[in-house]
Amino acid sequence: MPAHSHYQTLKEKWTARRHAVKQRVITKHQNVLQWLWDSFPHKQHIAATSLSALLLLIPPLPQLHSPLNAQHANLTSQTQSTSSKSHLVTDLSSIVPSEIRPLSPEEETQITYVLSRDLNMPVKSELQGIRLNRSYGKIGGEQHLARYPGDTLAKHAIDPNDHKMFLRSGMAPGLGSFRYFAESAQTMTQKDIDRERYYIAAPYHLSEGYNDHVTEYKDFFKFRKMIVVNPKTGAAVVTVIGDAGPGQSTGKHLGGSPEVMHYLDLGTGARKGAVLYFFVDDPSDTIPLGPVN
Amino acid sequence: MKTYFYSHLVEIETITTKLNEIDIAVHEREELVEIVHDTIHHHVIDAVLDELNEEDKKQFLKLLVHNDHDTVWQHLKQKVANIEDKIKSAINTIKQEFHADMP
Repeated sequence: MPAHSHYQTLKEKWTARRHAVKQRVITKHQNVLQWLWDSFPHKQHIAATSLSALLLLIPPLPQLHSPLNAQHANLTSQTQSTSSKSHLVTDLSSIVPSEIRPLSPEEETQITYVLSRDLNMPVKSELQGIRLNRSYGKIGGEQHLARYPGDTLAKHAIDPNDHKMFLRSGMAPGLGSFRYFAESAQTMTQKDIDRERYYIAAPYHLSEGYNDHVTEYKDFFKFRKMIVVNPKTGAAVVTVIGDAGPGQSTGKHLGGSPEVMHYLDLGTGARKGAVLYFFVDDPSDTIPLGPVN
Repeated sequence: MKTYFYSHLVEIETITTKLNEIDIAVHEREELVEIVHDTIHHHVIDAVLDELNEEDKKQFLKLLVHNDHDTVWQHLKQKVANIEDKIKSAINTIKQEFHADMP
């Protein structure tokens, strides 16, 4: 693990101070900032101003935002409500760049704060000093992965809907970079099933420091919980890193399982689009995988 | 670097000079300087809002959104005595905190 440098020490302290200053402004002057927000029905008018960062930190008032329920949604239940998805779209619209490019540190700070607030979970761009090479990019569809030795595509279906919606993508001929999710069909748990259903392929080998700490980094990224968000629709899915990839020559920055693509509203047509993706800081593993309800 | 109504009062050369003496990469230094500017910006807004009543705060914020620097100053000088000194004092306070963190 990389040693803590002067830069990292100062960055942590100064980022915390900046956040504290912003929070102080919000706490003391929330009413008038809320008034300003309400004064501009077309939010893009204030999106580019020096106040946009503050306005996005205003806690959602009960009449403005519906609190999001972070409990697990089964396959047939509804995903995020239309109103909560549209609020997320609005909140992100002024800070997510139109160009699909790596985010600046300031953009990451703002976006992770909005996501943490709106999705009611701790969203981080960096954990334990480790981060992916980027957090905003194009996602493309991946195939199902073998969960245990002898697994077949048909066994991935839970019900007839599953068969129709998720099995068209097929199953990868080889194993994911972490190999199987379970030792056998008999020992496979619901967690193993969910990990394969909601896996993403991420180029963790491109993370800074990976080549000097291969084993540690691979352990860190194996089944690492991540939130993936479609900023155009507000769809969000809690996933795990289940594979390495995609290859840089594909033009994609991330891969999503068929279920992940479906719940990101990217399951049809070209099956690709721009997404935000960050760590979910959940050491107790209490946040369920799947679409955010 | 963005220009704000108070930008002529901000000088962080002492901070950048000290950062230049620390063993960090150029892009890391630039990132830290950006954090300093952003923190100062919100600290100044806080200091100004503290001096204004509710109606004057709204007017100030509207002017800020429209980025009308001259009118912002006119408004503040009408409403708050010695506003420039108060902003300078706020900036110096936060600068000292940054200095205290550096090796």
